[in-house]
Amino acid sequence: MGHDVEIDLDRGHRAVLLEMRRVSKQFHGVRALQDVTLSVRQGQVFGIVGPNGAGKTTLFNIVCGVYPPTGGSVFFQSRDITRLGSARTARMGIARTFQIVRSFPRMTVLDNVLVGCGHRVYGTLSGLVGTYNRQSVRDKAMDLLKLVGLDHAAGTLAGKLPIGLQRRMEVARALALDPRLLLLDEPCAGLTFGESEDLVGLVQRVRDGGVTVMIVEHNMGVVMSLCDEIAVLDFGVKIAQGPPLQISSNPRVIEAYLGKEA
Amino acid sequence: MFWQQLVNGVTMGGIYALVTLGLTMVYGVLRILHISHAGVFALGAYIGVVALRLSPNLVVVTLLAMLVCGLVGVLMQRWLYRPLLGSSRIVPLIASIGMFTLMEDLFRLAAGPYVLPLPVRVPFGLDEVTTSVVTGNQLVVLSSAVILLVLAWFVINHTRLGLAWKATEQDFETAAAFGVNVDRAVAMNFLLGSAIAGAAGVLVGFYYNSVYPTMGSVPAYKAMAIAVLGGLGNVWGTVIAALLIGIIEAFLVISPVGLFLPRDSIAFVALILVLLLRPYGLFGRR
Repeated sequence: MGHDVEIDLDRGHRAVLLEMRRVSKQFHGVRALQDVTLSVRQGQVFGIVGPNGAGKTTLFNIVCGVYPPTGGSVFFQSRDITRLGSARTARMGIARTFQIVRSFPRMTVLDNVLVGCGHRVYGTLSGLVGTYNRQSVRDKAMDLLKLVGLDHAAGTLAGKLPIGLQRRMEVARALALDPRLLLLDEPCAGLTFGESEDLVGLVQRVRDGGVTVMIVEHNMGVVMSLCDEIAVLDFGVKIAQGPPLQISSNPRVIEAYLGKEA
Repeated sequence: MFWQQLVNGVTMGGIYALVTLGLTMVYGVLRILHISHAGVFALGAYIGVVALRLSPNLVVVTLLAMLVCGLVGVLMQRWLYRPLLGSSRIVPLIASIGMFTLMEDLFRLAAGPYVLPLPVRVPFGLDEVTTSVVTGNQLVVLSSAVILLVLAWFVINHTRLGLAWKATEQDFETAAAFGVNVDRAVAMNFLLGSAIAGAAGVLVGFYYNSVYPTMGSVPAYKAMAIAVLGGLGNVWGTVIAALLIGIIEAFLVISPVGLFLPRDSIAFVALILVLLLRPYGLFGRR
Protein backbone atom coordinates (compact mmCIF):
# COMPACT_ATOMS: atom_id res chain seq x y z
CA MET A 1 0.00 0.00 0.00
CA GLY A 2 2.90 2.30 0.87
CA HIS A 3 4.10 1.94 -2.69
CA ASP A 4 0.69 2.97 -4.05
CA VAL A 5 0.70 6.11 -1.93
CA GLU A 6 4.08 7.07 -3.32
CA ILE A 7 2.82 6.75 -6.88
CA ASP A 8 -0.21 8.81 -5.99
CA LEU A 9 1.96 11.55 -4.59
CA ASP A 10 4.08 11.50 -7.72
CA ARG A 11 1.00 11.82 -9.91
CA GLY A 12 -0.27 14.53 -7.63
CA HIS A 13 2.57 16.75 -8.73
CA ARG A 14 1.87 16.36 -12.39
CA ALA A 15 -0.02 19.10 -14.14
CA VAL A 16 -3.73 18.74 -14.80
CA LEU A 17 -4.24 18.28 -18.53
CA LEU A 18 -8.02 18.09 -18.74
CA GLU A 19 -10.52 19.37 -16.25
CA MET A 20 -14.30 19.03 -16.38
CA ARG A 21 -16.22 21.27 -13.98
CA ARG A 22 -19.82 20.36 -13.13
CA VAL A 23 -20.52 19.24 -16.68
CA SER A 24 -24.14 18.37 -17.47
CA LYS A 25 -25.79 17.35 -20.70
CA GLN A 26 -29.47 16.89 -21.47
CA PHE A 27 -30.92 15.48 -24.68
CA HIS A 28 -34.53 16.55 -25.07
CA GLY A 29 -35.03 16.50 -21.32
CA VAL A 30 -33.14 13.24 -20.80
CA ARG A 31 -30.19 13.70 -18.47
CA ALA A 32 -27.14 12.03 -19.97
CA LEU A 33 -24.61 13.65 -17.65
CA GLN A 34 -25.15 15.46 -14.39
CA ASP A 35 -22.63 17.67 -12.61
CA VAL A 36 -19.63 15.58 -13.56
CA THR A 37 -16.37 16.99 -12.21
CA LEU A 38 -13.10 15.27 -12.89
CA SER A 39 -9.51 16.03 -13.78
CA VAL A 40 -7.02 14.04 -15.78
CA ARG A 41 -3.31 14.52 -15.12
CA GLN A 42 -0.57 14.45 -17.68
CA GLY A 43 0.79 11.00 -18.42
CA GLN A 44 -2.14 9.12 -16.88
CA VAL A 45 -4.24 6.39 -18.39
CA PHE A 46 -7.63 7.43 -17.10
CA GLY A 47 -10.44 4.91 -17.29
CA ILE A 48 -14.14 5.66 -17.45
CA VAL A 49 -16.43 2.77 -16.67
CA GLY A 50 -20.11 2.32 -16.01
CA PRO A 51 -23.12 0.36 -17.25
CA ASN A 52 -24.53 0.95 -20.73
CA GLY A 53 -26.22 4.33 -21.00
CA ALA A 54 -24.22 5.76 -18.11
CA GLY A 55 -23.06 8.69 -20.27
CA LYS A 56 -19.51 7.61 -21.10
CA THR A 57 -19.67 8.34 -24.82
CA THR A 58 -21.54 11.59 -24.12
CA LEU A 59 -18.65 12.61 -21.89
CA PHE A 60 -16.17 11.87 -24.69
CA ASN A 61 -18.24 13.79 -27.21
CA ILE A 62 -18.27 16.82 -24.94
CA VAL A 63 -14.50 16.68 -24.41
CA CYS A 64 -14.05 16.44 -28.20
CA GLY A 65 -16.39 19.33 -28.87
CA VAL A 66 -18.91 17.31 -30.88
CA TYR A 67 -21.59 19.18 -28.94
CA PRO A 68 -21.39 21.65 -26.05
CA PRO A 69 -22.61 20.64 -22.60
CA THR A 70 -25.87 22.14 -21.31
CA GLY A 71 -24.03 23.19 -18.16
CA GLY A 72 -20.51 23.36 -16.79
CA SER A 73 -17.22 23.79 -18.59
CA VAL A 74 -14.22 21.90 -19.89
CA PHE A 75 -10.63 23.07 -19.62
CA PHE A 76 -7.68 21.67 -21.57
CA GLN A 77 -4.21 22.88 -20.56
CA SER A 78 -6.05 25.52 -18.52
CA ARG A 79 -7.85 26.83 -21.62
CA ASP A 80 -11.62 26.82 -21.80
CA ILE A 81 -12.54 24.52 -24.70
CA THR A 82 -16.21 24.11 -23.80
CA ARG A 83 -17.57 25.58 -27.01
CA LEU A 84 -14.65 25.21 -29.38
CA GLY A 85 -16.21 22.65 -31.76
CA SER A 86 -14.60 19.40 -32.86
CA ALA A 87 -12.24 20.67 -35.56
CA ARG A 88 -10.54 23.23 -33.33
CA THR A 89 -10.51 20.86 -30.37
CA ALA A 90 -8.73 18.32 -32.56
CA ARG A 91 -6.19 20.90 -33.65
CA MET A 92 -5.50 21.71 -29.98
CA GLY A 93 -4.37 18.14 -29.49
CA ILE A 94 -7.35 16.03 -28.49
CA ALA A 95 -7.71 12.95 -30.68
CA ARG A 96 -10.15 10.09 -30.46
CA THR A 97 -11.28 6.75 -31.73
CA PHE A 98 -14.92 5.76 -31.99
CA GLN A 99 -17.04 3.18 -30.22
CA ILE A 100 -18.35 2.06 -33.59
CA VAL A 101 -15.41 2.25 -36.00
CA ARG A 102 -15.63 5.31 -38.26
CA SER A 103 -12.98 5.03 -40.89
CA PHE A 104 -13.20 6.84 -44.20
CA PRO A 105 -14.16 3.58 -45.91
CA ARG A 106 -13.49 4.54 -49.54
CA MET A 107 -10.04 5.97 -48.83
CA THR A 108 -6.85 3.97 -48.45
CA VAL A 109 -5.52 3.26 -44.97
CA LEU A 110 -2.63 5.63 -45.68
CA ASP A 111 -4.98 8.44 -46.79
CA ASN A 112 -7.04 7.94 -43.63
CA VAL A 113 -3.94 8.63 -41.57
CA LEU A 114 -2.91 11.52 -43.84
CA VAL A 115 -6.21 13.28 -43.04
CA GLY A 116 -5.03 13.43 -39.44
CA CYS A 117 -1.55 14.60 -40.53
CA GLY A 118 -2.99 17.66 -42.22
CA HIS A 119 -4.62 19.16 -39.14
CA ARG A 120 -2.32 22.16 -38.88
CA VAL A 121 -3.38 23.56 -42.23
CA TYR A 122 -7.06 22.66 -42.64
CA GLY A 123 -8.05 25.88 -40.96
CA THR A 124 -5.74 28.05 -43.03
CA LEU A 125 -5.34 29.18 -46.61
CA SER A 126 -2.10 27.28 -46.97
CA GLY A 127 -4.23 24.14 -46.89
CA LEU A 128 -5.09 25.08 -50.46
CA VAL A 129 -1.55 24.97 -51.77
CA GLY A 130 -0.08 22.42 -49.40
CA THR A 131 0.26 19.06 -51.08
CA TYR A 132 -0.25 16.04 -48.87
CA ASN A 133 1.96 13.79 -50.91
CA ARG A 134 5.07 15.44 -49.54
CA GLN A 135 7.51 12.73 -48.54
CA SER A 136 7.97 13.84 -44.92
CA VAL A 137 4.23 13.67 -44.30
CA ARG A 138 3.94 10.25 -45.93
CA ASP A 139 6.90 9.02 -43.89
CA LYS A 140 5.22 10.15 -40.69
CA ALA A 141 2.01 8.37 -41.69
CA MET A 142 3.90 5.20 -42.56
CA ASP A 143 5.74 5.31 -39.21
CA LEU A 144 2.41 5.49 -37.42
CA LEU A 145 1.10 2.57 -39.46
CA LYS A 146 4.21 0.61 -38.50
CA LEU A 147 3.60 1.43 -34.84
CA VAL A 148 0.15 -0.17 -35.02
CA GLY A 149 1.38 -2.94 -37.30
CA LEU A 150 -0.55 -1.90 -40.38
CA ASP A 151 2.21 -0.74 -42.73
CA HIS A 152 1.59 -3.73 -45.00
CA ALA A 153 -2.03 -2.58 -45.52
CA ALA A 154 -1.28 1.07 -46.35
CA GLY A 155 -2.72 0.84 -49.86
CA THR A 156 -5.87 -1.08 -48.93
CA LEU A 157 -9.25 0.64 -48.85
CA ALA A 158 -10.03 1.13 -45.17
CA GLY A 159 -13.56 -0.24 -45.54
CA LYS A 160 -12.15 -3.60 -46.65
CA LEU A 161 -10.12 -4.19 -43.46
CA PRO A 162 -11.48 -6.45 -40.73
CA ILE A 163 -12.79 -4.57 -37.71
CA GLY A 164 -9.80 -5.29 -35.48
CA LEU A 165 -7.42 -3.76 -38.00
CA GLN A 166 -9.73 -0.78 -38.58
CA ARG A 167 -9.55 -0.09 -34.84
CA ARG A 168 -5.77 -0.07 -35.01
CA MET A 169 -5.96 2.22 -38.04
CA GLU A 170 -8.14 4.57 -35.98
CA VAL A 171 -5.41 4.70 -33.35
CA ALA A 172 -2.80 5.54 -35.99
CA ARG A 173 -5.09 8.20 -37.47
CA ALA A 174 -5.64 9.69 -34.02
CA LEU A 175 -1.89 9.73 -33.31
CA ALA A 176 -1.36 11.56 -36.61
CA LEU A 177 -2.81 14.60 -34.86
CA ASP A 178 0.19 14.61 -32.47
CA PRO A 179 -2.31 14.61 -29.61
CA ARG A 180 -1.63 15.52 -26.00
CA LEU A 181 -4.75 13.60 -25.05
CA LEU A 182 -6.05 10.45 -26.74
CA LEU A 183 -9.62 9.28 -26.13
CA LEU A 184 -10.33 5.62 -26.80
CA ASP A 185 -14.01 4.67 -26.86
CA GLU A 186 -14.33 0.93 -26.17
CA PRO A 187 -11.23 0.05 -28.16
CA CYS A 188 -11.56 -3.66 -27.37
CA ALA A 189 -15.21 -4.05 -28.39
CA GLY A 190 -15.53 -6.84 -30.93
CA LEU A 191 -11.88 -7.82 -30.65
CA THR A 192 -10.61 -11.32 -29.90
CA PHE A 193 -8.63 -11.92 -26.73
CA GLY A 194 -5.35 -11.80 -28.62
CA GLU A 195 -6.31 -8.59 -30.40
CA SER A 196 -7.28 -7.00 -27.08
CA GLU A 197 -3.89 -7.88 -25.63
CA ASP A 198 -2.19 -6.29 -28.64
CA LEU A 199 -4.25 -3.17 -28.10
CA VAL A 200 -3.32 -2.96 -24.43
CA GLY A 201 0.34 -3.15 -25.44
CA LEU A 202 -0.23 -0.43 -28.01
CA VAL A 203 -1.91 1.88 -25.49
CA GLN A 204 1.00 1.36 -23.09
CA ARG A 205 3.47 2.28 -25.82
CA VAL A 206 1.44 5.40 -26.64
CA ARG A 207 1.35 6.39 -22.96
CA ASP A 208 5.11 5.81 -22.65
CA GLY A 209 5.48 8.15 -25.63
CA GLY A 210 4.05 10.93 -23.47
CA VAL A 211 0.40 10.93 -24.57
CA THR A 212 -2.25 11.06 -21.87
CA VAL A 213 -5.01 8.51 -22.48
CA MET A 214 -8.67 8.43 -21.52
CA ILE A 215 -10.33 5.11 -22.12
CA VAL A 216 -13.92 3.87 -21.99
CA GLU A 217 -13.93 0.11 -21.79
CA HIS A 218 -16.22 -2.70 -20.65
CA ASN A 219 -13.49 -5.31 -20.48
CA MET A 220 -12.59 -4.99 -16.77
CA GLY A 221 -9.36 -6.95 -17.22
CA VAL A 222 -8.17 -4.35 -19.71
CA VAL A 223 -9.29 -1.44 -17.52
CA MET A 224 -7.67 -2.81 -14.35
CA SER A 225 -4.34 -3.56 -15.98
CA LEU A 226 -4.09 -0.30 -17.98
CA CYS A 227 -5.52 2.48 -15.90
CA ASP A 228 -3.83 4.60 -13.24
CA GLU A 229 -7.14 6.07 -12.21
CA ILE A 230 -10.77 5.21 -12.88
CA ALA A 231 -13.99 7.21 -12.73
CA VAL A 232 -17.27 5.35 -12.51
CA LEU A 233 -20.41 6.75 -14.05
CA ASP A 234 -23.94 5.56 -13.33
CA PHE A 235 -26.96 7.23 -14.94
CA GLY A 236 -24.87 10.28 -15.81
CA VAL A 237 -23.53 10.78 -12.28
CA LYS A 238 -19.97 10.14 -11.19
CA ILE A 239 -20.29 7.75 -8.27
CA ALA A 240 -16.62 7.03 -7.60
CA GLN A 241 -13.09 7.86 -8.64
CA GLY A 242 -9.75 6.41 -7.64
CA PRO A 243 -7.02 3.90 -8.43
CA PRO A 244 -8.18 0.50 -9.80
CA LEU A 245 -7.90 -1.47 -6.54
CA GLN A 246 -9.89 1.09 -4.61
CA ILE A 247 -12.59 1.17 -7.29
CA SER A 248 -12.99 -2.59 -7.52
CA SER A 249 -13.62 -2.78 -3.78
CA ASN A 250 -15.97 0.24 -3.59
CA PRO A 251 -19.42 -1.05 -2.53
CA ARG A 252 -21.31 1.59 -4.56
CA VAL A 253 -19.44 0.57 -7.67
CA ILE A 254 -20.07 -3.09 -7.06
CA GLU A 255 -23.74 -2.37 -6.59
CA ALA A 256 -24.06 -0.19 -9.70
CA TYR A 257 -21.87 -2.03 -12.09
CA LEU A 258 -19.73 -4.95 -11.08
CA GLY A 259 -22.48 -6.34 -8.90
CA LYS A 260 -24.71 -6.94 -11.87
CA GLU A 261 -22.17 -9.25 -13.42
CA ALA A 262 -21.33 -11.22 -10.29
CA MET B 1 -14.23 16.75 -92.30
CA PHE B 2 -13.73 13.96 -89.76
CA TRP B 3 -10.92 15.73 -87.94
CA GLN B 4 -12.75 19.04 -88.01
CA GLN B 5 -15.80 17.49 -86.42
CA LEU B 6 -13.63 15.71 -83.87
CA VAL B 7 -12.05 19.02 -82.90
CA ASN B 8 -15.51 20.65 -82.76
CA GLY B 9 -16.66 17.84 -80.51
CA VAL B 10 -13.64 17.94 -78.22
CA THR B 11 -13.98 21.72 -77.88
CA MET B 12 -17.62 21.48 -76.85
CA GLY B 13 -16.74 18.53 -74.63
CA GLY B 14 -14.09 20.61 -72.88
CA ILE B 15 -16.65 23.32 -72.18
CA TYR B 16 -19.18 20.78 -70.92
CA ALA B 17 -16.49 19.34 -68.68
CA LEU B 18 -15.76 22.75 -67.17
CA VAL B 19 -19.45 23.44 -66.47
CA THR B 20 -20.12 19.97 -65.11
CA LEU B 21 -17.01 19.82 -62.95
CA GLY B 22 -18.36 22.20 -60.30
CA LEU B 23 -21.68 20.42 -60.30
CA THR B 24 -20.09 17.05 -59.66
CA MET B 25 -17.67 18.51 -57.08
CA VAL B 26 -20.55 19.98 -55.09
CA TYR B 27 -22.49 16.75 -55.35
CA GLY B 28 -19.37 14.85 -54.31
CA VAL B 29 -19.12 16.72 -51.04
CA LEU B 30 -22.64 17.84 -50.14
CA ARG B 31 -24.89 15.43 -52.12
CA ILE B 32 -26.84 18.44 -53.43
CA LEU B 33 -27.97 18.83 -57.06
CA HIS B 34 -26.69 22.35 -57.63
CA ILE B 35 -28.84 23.46 -60.61
CA SER B 36 -28.10 27.15 -60.10
CA HIS B 37 -24.51 26.29 -60.99
CA ALA B 38 -25.60 27.05 -64.59
CA GLY B 39 -26.68 30.48 -63.37
CA VAL B 40 -23.12 31.00 -62.13
CA PHE B 41 -21.93 29.93 -65.60
CA ALA B 42 -24.11 32.63 -67.25
CA LEU B 43 -23.04 35.12 -64.60
CA GLY B 44 -19.45 34.46 -65.65
CA ALA B 45 -20.28 35.48 -69.21
CA TYR B 46 -21.97 38.67 -68.00
CA ILE B 47 -19.07 39.52 -65.71
CA GLY B 48 -16.95 39.05 -68.84
CA VAL B 49 -19.05 41.64 -70.69
CA VAL B 50 -18.64 44.10 -67.83
CA ALA B 51 -14.93 43.33 -67.42
CA LEU B 52 -14.36 44.23 -71.07
CA ARG B 53 -14.56 47.87 -70.02
CA LEU B 54 -11.55 47.35 -67.78
CA SER B 55 -9.47 45.30 -70.12
CA PRO B 56 -10.12 43.44 -73.37
CA ASN B 57 -7.53 40.80 -72.47
CA LEU B 58 -9.04 37.30 -72.27
CA VAL B 59 -6.87 36.32 -69.31
CA VAL B 60 -7.84 39.37 -67.27
CA VAL B 61 -11.52 39.00 -68.17
CA THR B 62 -11.51 35.30 -67.29
CA LEU B 63 -9.74 35.80 -63.98
CA LEU B 64 -12.19 38.53 -63.00
CA ALA B 65 -15.15 36.33 -63.90
CA MET B 66 -13.63 33.45 -61.91
CA LEU B 67 -13.13 35.67 -58.88
CA VAL B 68 -16.67 37.06 -58.86
CA CYS B 69 -18.29 33.70 -59.65
CA GLY B 70 -16.23 31.94 -56.99
CA LEU B 71 -17.39 34.43 -54.37
CA VAL B 72 -21.01 34.16 -55.55
CA GLY B 73 -20.67 30.38 -55.24
CA VAL B 74 -19.50 30.73 -51.64
CA LEU B 75 -22.39 33.10 -50.87
CA MET B 76 -24.83 30.54 -52.31
CA GLN B 77 -23.36 27.87 -50.07
CA ARG B 78 -23.59 30.16 -47.05
CA TRP B 79 -27.02 31.65 -47.58
CA LEU B 80 -28.88 29.13 -49.71
CA TYR B 81 -27.61 25.63 -48.97
CA ARG B 82 -26.21 25.77 -45.45
CA PRO B 83 -29.54 26.73 -43.86
CA LEU B 84 -31.18 23.83 -45.73
CA LEU B 85 -28.60 21.15 -44.98
CA GLY B 86 -30.67 19.42 -42.34
CA SER B 87 -33.74 19.07 -44.55
CA SER B 88 -34.67 16.42 -47.09
CA ARG B 89 -32.60 16.48 -50.27
CA ILE B 90 -35.51 17.67 -52.40
CA VAL B 91 -35.57 21.00 -50.53
CA PRO B 92 -32.14 22.28 -51.59
CA LEU B 93 -32.90 21.02 -55.11
CA ILE B 94 -36.06 23.12 -55.32
CA ALA B 95 -34.28 26.10 -53.78
CA SER B 96 -31.54 25.67 -56.35
CA ILE B 97 -33.99 25.65 -59.29
CA GLY B 98 -35.64 28.76 -57.83
CA MET B 99 -32.28 30.45 -57.49
CA PHE B 100 -31.45 29.62 -61.10
CA THR B 101 -34.73 31.14 -62.37
CA LEU B 102 -34.12 34.21 -60.22
CA MET B 103 -30.64 34.64 -61.68
CA GLU B 104 -31.89 34.39 -65.26
CA ASP B 105 -34.49 37.06 -64.58
CA LEU B 106 -31.92 39.26 -62.86
CA PHE B 107 -29.72 39.05 -65.97
CA ARG B 108 -32.73 40.06 -68.09
CA LEU B 109 -33.54 42.97 -65.80
CA ALA B 110 -29.97 44.17 -65.57
CA ALA B 111 -28.75 43.70 -69.13
CA GLY B 112 -31.95 43.38 -71.14
CA PRO B 113 -33.12 40.40 -73.20
CA TYR B 114 -30.53 41.02 -75.92
CA VAL B 115 -27.64 39.00 -77.19
CA LEU B 116 -24.47 40.86 -76.18
CA PRO B 117 -21.12 40.33 -77.90
CA LEU B 118 -18.00 39.37 -75.98
CA PRO B 119 -15.12 40.46 -78.22
CA VAL B 120 -12.17 39.73 -75.95
CA ARG B 121 -8.61 39.99 -77.21
CA VAL B 122 -6.56 36.83 -77.02
CA PRO B 123 -2.93 36.96 -75.88
CA PHE B 124 -0.14 35.67 -78.17
CA GLY B 125 -2.55 35.96 -81.13
CA LEU B 126 -3.58 32.40 -80.41
CA ASP B 127 -6.88 32.95 -82.19
CA GLU B 128 -5.03 33.77 -85.42
CA VAL B 129 -3.44 30.31 -85.61
CA THR B 130 -6.18 28.87 -87.77
CA THR B 131 -5.48 25.68 -89.70
CA SER B 132 -7.73 23.54 -91.86
CA VAL B 133 -8.59 21.36 -88.87
CA VAL B 134 -8.73 23.68 -85.88
CA THR B 135 -9.69 27.34 -85.67
CA GLY B 136 -7.83 29.81 -83.50
CA ASN B 137 -10.88 30.26 -81.30
CA GLN B 138 -11.05 26.54 -80.70
CA LEU B 139 -7.39 26.54 -79.72
CA VAL B 140 -8.14 29.24 -77.18
CA VAL B 141 -11.05 27.35 -75.68
CA LEU B 142 -9.23 24.02 -75.68
CA SER B 143 -6.05 25.30 -74.08
CA SER B 144 -8.01 27.19 -71.41
CA ALA B 145 -10.08 24.10 -70.68
CA VAL B 146 -6.95 21.96 -70.33
CA ILE B 147 -5.34 24.46 -67.96
CA LEU B 148 -8.44 24.66 -65.75
CA LEU B 149 -9.02 20.91 -65.71
CA VAL B 150 -5.40 20.25 -64.76
CA LEU B 151 -5.72 22.85 -62.00
CA ALA B 152 -8.83 21.12 -60.68
CA TRP B 153 -7.18 17.71 -60.96
CA PHE B 154 -4.21 18.95 -58.98
CA VAL B 155 -6.32 20.48 -56.21
CA ILE B 156 -8.58 17.44 -55.96
CA ASN B 157 -5.88 14.78 -55.98
CA HIS B 158 -2.75 16.37 -54.59
CA THR B 159 -3.62 18.98 -52.01
CA ARG B 160 -4.71 18.68 -48.42
CA LEU B 161 -7.82 20.53 -49.46
CA GLY B 162 -8.71 17.72 -51.87
CA LEU B 163 -8.07 15.17 -49.13
CA ALA B 164 -10.26 17.20 -46.76
CA TRP B 165 -13.06 17.12 -49.38
CA LYS B 166 -12.81 13.36 -49.68
CA ALA B 167 -12.90 12.97 -45.91
CA THR B 168 -15.81 15.40 -45.59
CA GLU B 169 -17.80 13.56 -48.23
CA GLN B 170 -17.36 10.20 -46.54
CA ASP B 171 -18.04 11.30 -42.97
CA PHE B 172 -18.06 14.98 -42.12
CA GLU B 173 -18.25 14.46 -38.36
CA THR B 174 -15.17 12.26 -38.37
CA ALA B 175 -13.40 14.69 -40.70
CA ALA B 176 -14.07 17.42 -38.13
CA ALA B 177 -12.76 15.17 -35.36
CA PHE B 178 -9.44 15.13 -37.20
CA GLY B 179 -9.12 18.84 -37.54
CA VAL B 180 -10.81 19.43 -40.89
CA ASN B 181 -12.67 22.75 -40.86
CA VAL B 182 -15.63 21.20 -42.66
CA ASP B 183 -17.42 24.48 -43.23
CA ARG B 184 -14.40 26.08 -44.85
CA ALA B 185 -13.65 22.96 -46.90
CA VAL B 186 -17.19 23.07 -48.33
CA ALA B 187 -16.87 26.80 -49.03
CA MET B 188 -13.59 26.20 -50.88
CA ASN B 189 -15.35 23.50 -52.89
CA PHE B 190 -17.98 25.99 -54.03
CA LEU B 191 -15.29 28.61 -54.63
CA LEU B 192 -13.31 26.43 -57.03
CA GLY B 193 -16.30 24.84 -58.77
CA SER B 194 -18.03 28.19 -59.29
CA ALA B 195 -14.84 29.92 -60.46
CA ILE B 196 -14.37 27.25 -63.12
CA ALA B 197 -18.01 27.59 -64.20
CA GLY B 198 -17.48 31.35 -64.48
CA ALA B 199 -14.45 30.74 -66.71
CA ALA B 200 -16.58 28.41 -68.84
CA GLY B 201 -19.14 31.22 -69.18
CA VAL B 202 -16.50 33.58 -70.53
CA LEU B 203 -15.17 30.92 -72.91
CA VAL B 204 -18.62 30.12 -74.31
CA GLY B 205 -19.44 33.82 -74.63
CA PHE B 206 -16.18 34.29 -76.49
CA TYR B 207 -16.56 31.16 -78.65
CA TYR B 208 -20.03 32.11 -79.93
CA ASN B 209 -19.47 35.85 -79.38
CA SER B 210 -22.84 35.96 -77.65
CA VAL B 211 -24.04 36.42 -74.08
CA TYR B 212 -27.75 36.29 -73.25
CA PRO B 213 -29.91 35.78 -70.14
CA THR B 214 -30.97 32.19 -70.82
CA MET B 215 -27.59 30.94 -71.98
CA GLY B 216 -27.45 28.77 -68.86
CA SER B 217 -30.74 26.96 -69.52
CA VAL B 218 -29.53 24.22 -71.80
CA PRO B 219 -26.20 23.78 -69.95
CA ALA B 220 -28.12 23.48 -66.65
CA TYR B 221 -29.86 20.31 -67.64
CA LYS B 222 -27.21 19.04 -70.01
CA ALA B 223 -24.56 19.33 -67.29
CA MET B 224 -26.88 17.42 -64.97
CA ALA B 225 -27.16 14.66 -67.57
CA ILE B 226 -23.39 14.58 -68.09
CA ALA B 227 -22.76 14.51 -64.34
CA VAL B 228 -25.01 11.47 -64.01
CA LEU B 229 -23.37 9.82 -67.02
CA GLY B 230 -19.96 10.30 -65.45
CA GLY B 231 -21.21 9.00 -62.11
CA LEU B 232 -22.15 11.89 -59.81
CA GLY B 233 -19.18 12.96 -57.74
CA ASN B 234 -16.72 11.17 -60.03
CA VAL B 235 -14.49 13.89 -61.52
CA TRP B 236 -12.72 11.82 -64.18
CA GLY B 237 -15.87 10.03 -65.24
CA THR B 238 -17.37 13.50 -65.68
CA VAL B 239 -14.59 14.74 -67.95
CA ILE B 240 -14.75 11.63 -70.13
CA ALA B 241 -18.56 11.74 -70.30
CA ALA B 242 -18.40 15.43 -71.28
CA LEU B 243 -15.93 14.72 -74.09
CA LEU B 244 -18.04 11.77 -75.29
CA ILE B 245 -21.20 13.86 -75.43
CA GLY B 246 -19.39 16.71 -77.19
CA ILE B 247 -17.94 14.35 -79.81
CA ILE B 248 -21.20 12.43 -80.37
CA GLU B 249 -23.04 15.72 -80.81
CA ALA B 250 -20.50 16.96 -83.36
CA PHE B 251 -20.82 13.84 -85.48
CA LEU B 252 -24.55 13.63 -85.10
CA VAL B 253 -25.06 17.07 -86.63
CA ILE B 254 -23.46 15.96 -89.90
CA SER B 255 -25.14 12.52 -89.96
CA PRO B 256 -28.64 11.80 -91.33
CA VAL B 257 -29.86 11.13 -87.77
CA GLY B 258 -29.24 14.80 -87.06
CA LEU B 259 -32.17 15.70 -89.28
CA PHE B 260 -34.74 14.45 -86.80
CA LEU B 261 -32.80 14.21 -83.52
CA PRO B 262 -31.82 17.67 -82.28
CA ARG B 263 -28.28 18.06 -81.01
CA ASP B 264 -29.23 19.07 -77.50
CA SER B 265 -31.23 15.88 -77.04
CA ILE B 266 -28.19 13.59 -77.22
CA ALA B 267 -27.15 14.06 -73.62
CA PHE B 268 -30.66 13.20 -72.47
CA VAL B 269 -31.00 10.14 -74.69
CA ALA B 270 -27.69 8.99 -73.24
CA LEU B 271 -28.94 9.83 -69.75
CA ILE B 272 -32.07 7.72 -70.19
CA LEU B 273 -30.04 4.80 -71.53
CA VAL B 274 -27.54 5.01 -68.69
CA LEU B 275 -30.24 5.24 -66.04
CA LEU B 276 -31.84 2.12 -67.52
CA LEU B 277 -28.67 0.13 -68.01
CA ARG B 278 -25.97 1.49 -65.66
CA PRO B 279 -27.63 3.61 -62.95
CA TYR B 280 -24.30 4.36 -61.25
CA GLY B 281 -22.97 6.10 -64.35
CA LEU B 282 -20.79 4.93 -67.22
CA PHE B 283 -17.79 4.41 -64.98
CA GLY B 284 -19.49 3.94 -61.62
CA ARG B 285 -19.06 0.91 -59.45
CA ARG B 286 -21.43 -0.70 -56.93
